[in-house]
Amino acid sequence: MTNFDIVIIDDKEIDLMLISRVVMKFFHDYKPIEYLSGTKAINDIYNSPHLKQKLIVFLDINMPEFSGWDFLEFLLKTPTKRVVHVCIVTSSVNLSDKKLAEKYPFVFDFLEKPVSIEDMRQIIENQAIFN
Amino acid sequence: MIKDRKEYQILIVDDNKGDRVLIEAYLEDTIILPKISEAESFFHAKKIIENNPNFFDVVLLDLSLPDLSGEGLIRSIAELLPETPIIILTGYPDVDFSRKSLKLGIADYQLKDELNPLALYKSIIYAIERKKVTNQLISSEKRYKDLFQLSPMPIWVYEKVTLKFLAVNKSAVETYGFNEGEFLSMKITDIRPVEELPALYQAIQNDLSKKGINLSGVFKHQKRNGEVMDVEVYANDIDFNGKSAKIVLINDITFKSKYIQAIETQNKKLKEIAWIQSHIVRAPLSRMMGLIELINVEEESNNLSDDLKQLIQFIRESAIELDEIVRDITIRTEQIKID
Repeated sequence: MTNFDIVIIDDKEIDLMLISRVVMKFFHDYKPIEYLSGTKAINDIYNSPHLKQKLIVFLDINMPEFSGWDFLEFLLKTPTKRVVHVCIVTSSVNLSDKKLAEKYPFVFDFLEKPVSIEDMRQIIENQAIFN
Repeated sequence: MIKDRKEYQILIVDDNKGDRVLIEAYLEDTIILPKISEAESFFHAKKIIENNPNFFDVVLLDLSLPDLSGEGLIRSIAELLPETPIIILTGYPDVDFSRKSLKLGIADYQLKDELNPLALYKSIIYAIERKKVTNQLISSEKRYKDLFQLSPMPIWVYEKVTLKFLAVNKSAVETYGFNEGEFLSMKITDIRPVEELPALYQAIQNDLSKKGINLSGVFKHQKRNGEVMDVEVYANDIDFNGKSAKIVLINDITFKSKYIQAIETQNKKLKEIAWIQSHIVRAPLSRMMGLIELINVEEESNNLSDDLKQLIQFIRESAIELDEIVRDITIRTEQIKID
């Protein structure tokens, strides 16, 4: 069992499935928690007793109504008891998005879709938060 | 005595033949080749002058002719020969009038009784040289007036304290649609939309601390027909007829401003297209690529026929190719920058 929960936020079912499957290649008996909207995820992160203390979030940027940027801003301004690490996962290849993401201290990586098994392996091997 | 070898064209205007002969004799004493023309009346003189314009070096003029005399005579001759010095030779001493005639542009005022060859010669030479200098001054003044008047860009002078126009050039009249008289009855506040006035007062305030030529800034000016234009304004201090003033040059940049605006709008659209490429087009593409990778790593893929594996490989290559195209478009649009 891991000491953290993996959360995936994306407004597209296929993307949730794709990232989930790649994650599951490395954590065989673990099913990531999927959210189709950022507001729902925020609600659980701040209020739900069912999530673990430490969260690793794979966050899509381009979502209607409540975007990935809105999610990051909310997290920046609202203190939580949980420890949240965010990896941005986006189809954007725009450099300006990457620059914008750097200003959030809890963002530890920026991945372009599709997230390959090799990408995931590198993150898990290199980031201490997975220990 | 050494005689002057230069050739002088001299017009003597005198109704008294005796006086004319005497003057000629004096001239021949000091000048080797005086080319003398004689006139007995103003009418006669006028005819000679009209037949030989810009011909005479000097005019020796008697003040009382049968058909014209005094001030009227001086004015008429001076009008016919604006660039030729005129020396008055008269039989009557009149100090007041002699002073007045100098104001009318007369070079010298000599009494016939006191005349001698040398005095006359000196008077002629001085008059010719002085007139040369005056003519130069007049033409240089004209050149500067032309520089102001004929400048293709609007220029004006305004008084610092009252903000009134003191002078405007032709281009200003043509550009703004006010005639010169209208301009000179207006202030520089009258050629701006009301909402621009605070910016003007601020600029005037800033100008107080500036010395020499400077770009006062970009403003909006209003023409007589209400049309508003964007202008760059350059200003410099000038003393204008004793008044502390500013000389101002106007550069109409309305067209330039519109052009820049159009480019900015276009640039914004391009950025939007780049964003769409990066976010919208690439989203389904990345899903396809993710799905293809999953197919390749699943256990069951080993059971696929070679033919099907080949087809999947082709789909994969096509997706990667499309991905490269999208990335290329994004990079190109990101490179567009205006500094």
